Amino acid sequence: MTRLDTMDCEFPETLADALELMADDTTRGVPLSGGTDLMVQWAGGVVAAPQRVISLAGLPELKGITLKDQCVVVGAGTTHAELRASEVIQARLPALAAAAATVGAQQIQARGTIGGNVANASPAGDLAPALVITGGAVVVAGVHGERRVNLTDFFKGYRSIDLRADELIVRFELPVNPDGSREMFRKIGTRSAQAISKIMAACRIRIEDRTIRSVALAVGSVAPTVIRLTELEAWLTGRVCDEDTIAEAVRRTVSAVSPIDDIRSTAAYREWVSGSMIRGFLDAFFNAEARERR
Amino acid sequence: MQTKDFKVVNKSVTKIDAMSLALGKPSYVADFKPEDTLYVKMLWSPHAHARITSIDISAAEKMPGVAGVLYHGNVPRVPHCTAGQGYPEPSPYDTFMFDTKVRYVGDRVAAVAAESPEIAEAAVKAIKVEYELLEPVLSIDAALKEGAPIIHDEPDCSIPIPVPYEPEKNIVARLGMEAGDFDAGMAAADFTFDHDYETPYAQHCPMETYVAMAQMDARDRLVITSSTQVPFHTRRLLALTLQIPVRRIRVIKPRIGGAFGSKQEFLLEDVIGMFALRTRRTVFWQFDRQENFRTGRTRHPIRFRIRSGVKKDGAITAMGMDAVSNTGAYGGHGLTVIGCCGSKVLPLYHCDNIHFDTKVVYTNLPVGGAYRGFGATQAFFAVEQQMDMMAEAIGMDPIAFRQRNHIKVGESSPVFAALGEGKEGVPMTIGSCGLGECITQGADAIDWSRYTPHTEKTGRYRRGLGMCCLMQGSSVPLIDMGSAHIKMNDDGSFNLHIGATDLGTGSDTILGQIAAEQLGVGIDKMIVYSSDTDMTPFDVGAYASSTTYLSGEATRKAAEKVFNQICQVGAEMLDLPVEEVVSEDEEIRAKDGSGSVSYADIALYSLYEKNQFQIQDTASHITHKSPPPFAAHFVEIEVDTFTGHVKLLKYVATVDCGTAINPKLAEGQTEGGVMNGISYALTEEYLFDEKGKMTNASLQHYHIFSLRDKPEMKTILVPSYEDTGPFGAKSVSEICINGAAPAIGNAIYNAIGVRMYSFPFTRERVWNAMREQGFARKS
Repeated sequence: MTRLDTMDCEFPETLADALELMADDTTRGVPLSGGTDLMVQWAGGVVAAPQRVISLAGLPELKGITLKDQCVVVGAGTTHAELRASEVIQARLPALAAAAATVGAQQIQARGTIGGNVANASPAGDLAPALVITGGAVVVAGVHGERRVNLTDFFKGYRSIDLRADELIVRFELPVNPDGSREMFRKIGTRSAQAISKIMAACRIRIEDRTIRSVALAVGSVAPTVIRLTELEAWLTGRVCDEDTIAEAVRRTVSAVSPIDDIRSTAAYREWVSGSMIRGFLDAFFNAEARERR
Repeated sequence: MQTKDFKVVNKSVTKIDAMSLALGKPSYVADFKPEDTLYVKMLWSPHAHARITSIDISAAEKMPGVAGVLYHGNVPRVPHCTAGQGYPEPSPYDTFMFDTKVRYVGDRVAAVAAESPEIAEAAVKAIKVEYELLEPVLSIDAALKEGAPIIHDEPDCSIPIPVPYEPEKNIVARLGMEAGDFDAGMAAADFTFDHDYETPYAQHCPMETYVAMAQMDARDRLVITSSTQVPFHTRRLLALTLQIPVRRIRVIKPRIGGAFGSKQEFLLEDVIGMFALRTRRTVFWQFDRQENFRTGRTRHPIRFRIRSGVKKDGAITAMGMDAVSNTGAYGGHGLTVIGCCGSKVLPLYHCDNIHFDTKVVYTNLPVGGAYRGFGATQAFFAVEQQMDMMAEAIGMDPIAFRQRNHIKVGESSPVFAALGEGKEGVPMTIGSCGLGECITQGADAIDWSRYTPHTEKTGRYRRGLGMCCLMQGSSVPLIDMGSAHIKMNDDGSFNLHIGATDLGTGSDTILGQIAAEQLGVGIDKMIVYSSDTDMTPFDVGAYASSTTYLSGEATRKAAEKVFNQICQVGAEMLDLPVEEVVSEDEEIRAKDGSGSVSYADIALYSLYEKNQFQIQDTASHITHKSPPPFAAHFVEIEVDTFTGHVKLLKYVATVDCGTAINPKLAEGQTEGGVMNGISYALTEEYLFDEKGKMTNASLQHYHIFSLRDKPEMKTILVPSYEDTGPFGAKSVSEICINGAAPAIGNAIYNAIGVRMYSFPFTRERVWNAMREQGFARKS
């Protein structure tokens, strides 16, 4: 049994103190926020429990959701429960609100944080697709200052992110869903709660007069890290959203993903269903737009 | 239906252990662990099939804090079975405390007892073992292949009853029967059907994993406190495996955190018993969740071929079931589970020409055992889907088809007489059957009038209705026995002592209700104590849907005898012949109103005043039939054809359990069983690597259906009156798990026209079936 009281645990009170601790090899520790990934990994022996932990819980600089210049700024310490309950997130980043509501179960949502979810860098991280479709950025900090990295670049590969050992994730800057655009998120797991995704996808799209004006599509759990379907996005932009377009989009989606067989699903199913999810999004948006035109 | 005016029975009295459990009072095995306890850890086999060529325990034995190490070299070799069944067991003696061969990943190699779990774990790691790897047998086909590796090649395995047992062919059992002329029945049909079905592994997943504790008492007797469904069988198996007399053993079952059949098994007690005998210390052992999955018992996976024929008018002319069951590495419950595929399923519908031919095979996979439903669950998945196919072929509504064909009061089936537990069965005529009413009420509750064929459905999301009918049994006739002892106390209260085993089912409460009803007192006057081999009379234990029907009738009979004594003493006190008195409101009254004495007065009189004696009696009961409860389950689902997701919208379970002794508990059993069945049908799945090791042995990756997906559920108790049961009762606990897989399977077909021959109905499996059966999207 892993117990925090058997570890060397620091509780800095400000972000500056935390960054000081992280700056030096001798004082550095594993950053711990909600602990919903790390505690399970340590207890299950997936990752050896560290000697030293730096608690980020309660750092005021990592809290808060604010709307600024068509951008939602979300502190890295914001919990999934806070994300799903936030009126700003619900109105301006609905895919993210939906994604946060599917993480683990309510107990996990109450403790787990957006920063932790991204830092865990799992290919099945539920928030990642909803984050990358915004085209936003993550801000990381070290003692010498901040660095702003586009989210699509931040996820580098399997369990790998662009974060140095002395840095902490501080906040996310996420451009809002513009007026006239819609967002959707869909997660597929074995059950509705307490299930790691087989696959999940998020979409931000603007359709006018049956024509796709702009689109962002991201799929998770089908590759070493979350992927934006940029080639498909480019192909779709400017096209009339009809059955031919949708059928071709499905075909292109299936060839863009590279899923594997694992304990949660099969490569073949993931390939097929990634196409189905894109079909589902386009169908729903197209039908909604058609209804509005009537 | 006979109606009765009950006072305590058929009332939802509060479970007698509810408050203490809600308050967290010490109740479970682990709560009674003293400070000074040894902990057991087991070295489990990492290989599916191997011979142990050498084993070195010296380093482990020398570690500070290690109290002992057990392995095949230092314990007696006693062939036995781990199935907690009657004696002699209808299961092979193919198990040893420790053996020189391992037969599945999770088999025993060596055990350590130490001062802490951590020390025990470290000592386990210090045991050095060398294996000679053998080819693992990882499927039914591999087990039956010519020249297949022999899993039980030891010369000392055998089966203690006269039935076929062919370990040299990896065959644990064969069982079959014929009635009428099956081939002629098929030939006479207007439509014939021949389909293969397969049912998967599953684990019971009780909240409390397997756990037991051993202690030596002041008189050098071995006291085992165990989370067991079968305390008396456990005592017998302990005496056998430890080679000490039964009189030196006491087995106590405290509260249990769930069992569902898994704890009708002898998996821990021999090891902790041996350590306790050798160390004179308290020894505690509890499985972790991974051990519970890998080494704990499972539901036997079974492969079926169902052949049937039907005439245009709806008459079923032939019903044939060929089945092969995979019992895993050991054969416990193998014969009886496959037997119940026939005995608890085939009698449900009229058919003169029946064919039943089955076998059970060993593999190097996890071990099958008793699991709620016990074979009926597996067989109903196949038969109830085939019933829908037959109805569709003749253009008859599935409900009308079943109403026409199901067994009714006064009818029998040749299957009852043919199939028993390791021997022939017992002929039986149905004395109570509320199935017709179950079907009618369930159809109303789900609004079956909306039923339309799948060919009329379009769009991404397609809804489907499905239903099935079910039966089970109530106890094993002429084999199982239960008994009860009742004595009266000074204040007119009663001790009820029963061997029966409450697994959280509420049997302590309902047996108390049965006694109270017969004695004419309130439930508050009953002090119930159960499942202690020193203090309570014998009972086979909690299995085969027997406790209410069998132990309940033993309890009622004991209460009747005590009641008669109370009347006698009351009459003596009133100076009247016993015919002149009646019992009312816990008093014995003169019929002419001339006087009365309270039960408390009678107790004091009998204990202290005159002609003193202890008002007490005991009764035993065996049953001469196994009256089936009946059920009809209905489900409405929605299939997302874009993802293969089967979403449950509504589930209606109707059940005829005779008189519900405690309606709330009967509903609870039904709802719990339905959820259990839904979970088996939709999400639970054992995954294995190519070497036979389970890869998802955790609740993180083995998915139990979650409450968030729970559909709207409705349970309807349809009363009947079974004359042979206590106050008209039959069983209720097992039947309710059987319906989900076939009803949902039928609903999937009704939604998308795709027939599911295996489950769980995961998105992947539904999608595969859609592809294979050429599902075409229509807008």
